[in-house]
Amino acid sequence: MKKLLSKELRLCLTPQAIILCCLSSLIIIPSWPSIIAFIYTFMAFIVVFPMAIANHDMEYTAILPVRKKDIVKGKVLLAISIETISILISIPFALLKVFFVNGSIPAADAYTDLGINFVLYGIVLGLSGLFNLIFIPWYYKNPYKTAKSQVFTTFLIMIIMMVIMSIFMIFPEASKFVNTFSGIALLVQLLSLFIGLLLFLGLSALAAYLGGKQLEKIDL
Amino acid sequence: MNKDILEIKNLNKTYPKFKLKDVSFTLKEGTICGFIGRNGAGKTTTIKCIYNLIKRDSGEILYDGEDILDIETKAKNEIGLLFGGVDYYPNQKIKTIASVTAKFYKSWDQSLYRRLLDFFDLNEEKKIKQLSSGMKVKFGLTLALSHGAKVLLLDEPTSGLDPVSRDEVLDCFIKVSELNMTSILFSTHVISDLERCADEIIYIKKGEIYCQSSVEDFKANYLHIEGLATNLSAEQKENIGHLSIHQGKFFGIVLKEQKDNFPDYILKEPSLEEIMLYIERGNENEKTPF
Repeated sequence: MKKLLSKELRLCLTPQAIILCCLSSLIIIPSWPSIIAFIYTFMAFIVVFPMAIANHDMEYTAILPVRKKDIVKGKVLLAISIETISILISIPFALLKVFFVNGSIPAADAYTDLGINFVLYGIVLGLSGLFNLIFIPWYYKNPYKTAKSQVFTTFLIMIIMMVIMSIFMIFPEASKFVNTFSGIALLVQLLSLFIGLLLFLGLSALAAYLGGKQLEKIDL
Repeated sequence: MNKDILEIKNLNKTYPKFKLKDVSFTLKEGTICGFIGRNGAGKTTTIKCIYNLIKRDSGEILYDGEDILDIETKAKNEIGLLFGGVDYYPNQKIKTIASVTAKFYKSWDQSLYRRLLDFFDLNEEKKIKQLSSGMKVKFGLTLALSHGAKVLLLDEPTSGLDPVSRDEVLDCFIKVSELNMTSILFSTHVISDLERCADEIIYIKKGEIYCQSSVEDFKANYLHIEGLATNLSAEQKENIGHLSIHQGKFFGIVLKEQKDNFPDYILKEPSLEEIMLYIERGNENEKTPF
């Protein structure tokens, strides 16, 4: 696994993908729906996968001493890395927004949407797992074409994000609740984060399993 | 007697327009085996099936006595595979690809890798896209040879190489086979490569194994024939394969068992290329669109 991850990071993680991951720093923008900052993460896949096809990555990985299905495992590890990098990059900017920006700009701290809290990160982790689960097995049905699977999955995640944002805008009480960092509200937040993390890891593992099954049917 | 390191038994794979039919052959430890046949005969498909790049429909592929799918990682650790030249990651440097690749192999020999780089005159700082097609083949061979493979599966490893480089590569095959008991299965259209280094030949025709034998035994069934065309009877003409008549002289291939039918002609050992033409074209003599 370590070898596959190292191979993916050294050969497949393009600078463009890293730049797109860095855009999660946009979470700092005042009065902007925080969850939107993470949509760019999923756009990184639009760069990484076609680039891998152009570089004959599959042909290279297939001749390495790994099982055929482990080729998918490598790509899931790359996906997890991209999503994790994006989340990690966002954290200092999220803290800056919470502790400095919101207090210094009038109306910036109005909780008109989900805001910045553990629930946000739980949702982002869950959505990342969902993205991996839909995109990876679909992509490995025909690993030489990425357009359909990527466009559909990215749009689906965008729609889910919009729905989540809308819910918190329609119900400001919910927004206030998830932005309360004490008592039961904090417990719920931490639980959401934990569930999000479990979903992220579980759905990604399932994506690797299903993608591997798909790839085993494909002749390279 | 060397043991069979690779055994292919009744391998079948069906595509809409092509079929591998009951392909069976063995590769003995320490032997160099030429895998020949026309374009589209099934050489690459067979090699890809062995390495599980293509899913077989039925049949067995045994590596050291065990089904290769049961020991996929172990088998792939001990098999070196090359399809023509390296054409992946054109913007990466040789050293980057090599260092990533090295991590996957337990028995990667860095000093052998360095020696091979020197031998093939490869500059580690060059990017893949800066290599000529011959250099890409050499780099692919360097990767395939650097992890002490017990078996090398090479699909046209000498294509695109100049004669000197080809000779160097074939020398490497002979050395690695003798010193390490490495078994080599290589497909090629450069038939002279086989005469230079192959111990055995596996001939595949239209998805079926036509024969597997030593180069000597393979050649022993055929004779090159030549003489004056004016003396040839119609019946004799029918028995000559790959018959070519030019300026009153002819040459072709006959089966050895028919040599008594040609008492007045020069009969000698044929080249492998002539035999291949005989097998593929049979008595369709001088068939051209003109």
